[in-house]
Amino acid sequence: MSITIQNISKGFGQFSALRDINLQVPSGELVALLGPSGCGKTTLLRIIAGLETPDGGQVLFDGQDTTHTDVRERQVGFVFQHYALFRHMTVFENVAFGLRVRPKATRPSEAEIKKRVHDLLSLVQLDWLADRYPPQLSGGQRQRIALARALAVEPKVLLLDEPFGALDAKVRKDLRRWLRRLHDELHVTSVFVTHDQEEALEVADTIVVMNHGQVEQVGSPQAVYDNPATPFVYEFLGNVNAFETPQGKGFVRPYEIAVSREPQENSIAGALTYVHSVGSLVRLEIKRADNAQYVDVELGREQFNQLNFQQGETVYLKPSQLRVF
Amino acid sequence: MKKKKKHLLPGFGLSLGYTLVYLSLIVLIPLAAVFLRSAELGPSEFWAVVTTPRVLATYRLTFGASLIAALINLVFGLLTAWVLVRYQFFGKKVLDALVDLPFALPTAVAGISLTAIYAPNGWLGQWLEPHGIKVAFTPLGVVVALTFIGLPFVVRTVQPILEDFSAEAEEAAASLGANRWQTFYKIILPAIWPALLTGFSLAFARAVGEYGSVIFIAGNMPMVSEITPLMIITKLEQYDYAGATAIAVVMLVISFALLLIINLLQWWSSHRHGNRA
Repeated sequence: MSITIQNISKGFGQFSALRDINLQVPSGELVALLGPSGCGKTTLLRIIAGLETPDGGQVLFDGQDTTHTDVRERQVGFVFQHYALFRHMTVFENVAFGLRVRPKATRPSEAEIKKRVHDLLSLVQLDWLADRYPPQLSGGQRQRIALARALAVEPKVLLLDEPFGALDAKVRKDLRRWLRRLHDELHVTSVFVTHDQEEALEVADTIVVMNHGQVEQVGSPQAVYDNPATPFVYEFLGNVNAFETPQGKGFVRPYEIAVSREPQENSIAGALTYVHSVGSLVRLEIKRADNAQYVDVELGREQFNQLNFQQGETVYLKPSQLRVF
Repeated sequence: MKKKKKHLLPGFGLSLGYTLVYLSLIVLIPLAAVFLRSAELGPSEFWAVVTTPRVLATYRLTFGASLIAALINLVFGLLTAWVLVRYQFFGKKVLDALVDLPFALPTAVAGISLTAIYAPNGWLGQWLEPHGIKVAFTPLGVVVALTFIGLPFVVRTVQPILEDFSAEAEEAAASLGANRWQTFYKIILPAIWPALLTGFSLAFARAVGEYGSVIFIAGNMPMVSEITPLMIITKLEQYDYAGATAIAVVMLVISFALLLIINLLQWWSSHRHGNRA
């Protein structure tokens, strides 16, 4: 099911959370809403779910206006940041909840419910936890149960609000990959909210970068990373150095700068103040001689070993690519 | 050598000692005295005193009216707590403070004002009387007084639990297709159930022991609107100390048994709902 968002705006008192948002989510895609906290991404997700009503604009599912459809009838699966599992119910009952609350006419039989729930628990690889209660599970397990519960009602759209936000780094990485594989299996149109650019770049088909209640850029991970449309996107996605140029503010990624001992045409002199060499990349921190600003540079380990820079040495920088806005 | 068990928090022995001494002085010793005093009567005499028809009638009224009052408070206390937590409106703070008033008011004052209002010529009584509803000087009046003094308990025990209850769980239920009623009774009620039971048992216990507010509105007619605490006072005024304590013992045992049952119910429900972790 495709989602179309037309001219959506929403305010809370004086604060305008969303301003005239237009967005198209094609059927079966996994889309990330990415932005800093307070940019309106969660509000947008909640409006798509029907948990929040927009002040203006429309939400269309497959071209059908659903703006004023109640969340109960919208057939969306919503996964909350803090899981929102029902703590007085077993894992099994949590997943079965959406089936049990159906009106008698459409409610599956007890045997069907049992089968469906166990299938879903197998899908999230937690069948063995069916009789436990949520407080007895780890954060990663709870989030997977929350996902199984959302999928039980066969939603047409899956919405995830910072699904991995409350988890530690290692679990987060595993779950990210797992979500990607799951989506490739199910192909249900999914939108997830995150403030973690790495997460968005790794998981999503399409990234929607948001800031101050507006969409800054929409594109594939590669497109938004390699060709940021605005200075904000440049700074938000990955490390970047800003240079003042006569034409305006120029941006360059740390790996797009050449470093040498000899001055070259248009190169900038600076002192190497810090070498951070853990992992495959070596990060250099260089203090510019002219305006005392710091510049981050990344070199491959091999290259660094050949050049063998010493801390405190004077070096010359030359950006190989500079984007000016 | 004796193995000494280490406690992570210091002062366990000292604080437990204090607690025991304190509880003994305030609760256990006076209660034991009640039992001792009533033992002055022989078993058959004791049984005769506590089972006279007039005394039996007071048990029925006291425990019956207390139960009804506590049930009324269970329903309307939950409603009040719900309104105070869920909605923002003008005068909410005042309403919130009003709830505590039955705690603070001398019970005799409550009794006198309730009687004045519900008496056949009172503000409310004059409207109820023509419809055949008599409140003052009847068992119904006892229920009204006990409802009044028990009001804060359910509200104050449920309120913080409702405040802590995450809106997310409700939103999750809604997104899974549950209607409002299903959300309330499958999601919210189980979460606040232990607090509701606590509030209920507190309101009930308070009502059973209530004296001051009831005697004014009850009319105290033997066999009809006489409560057990009044029976005890009556015996005391006749210098029948053994008889008074005998009735007190019966009251104590029934109250203890009822509170125990409520506690077991609470334990059972919290276990069933897996709030162990």
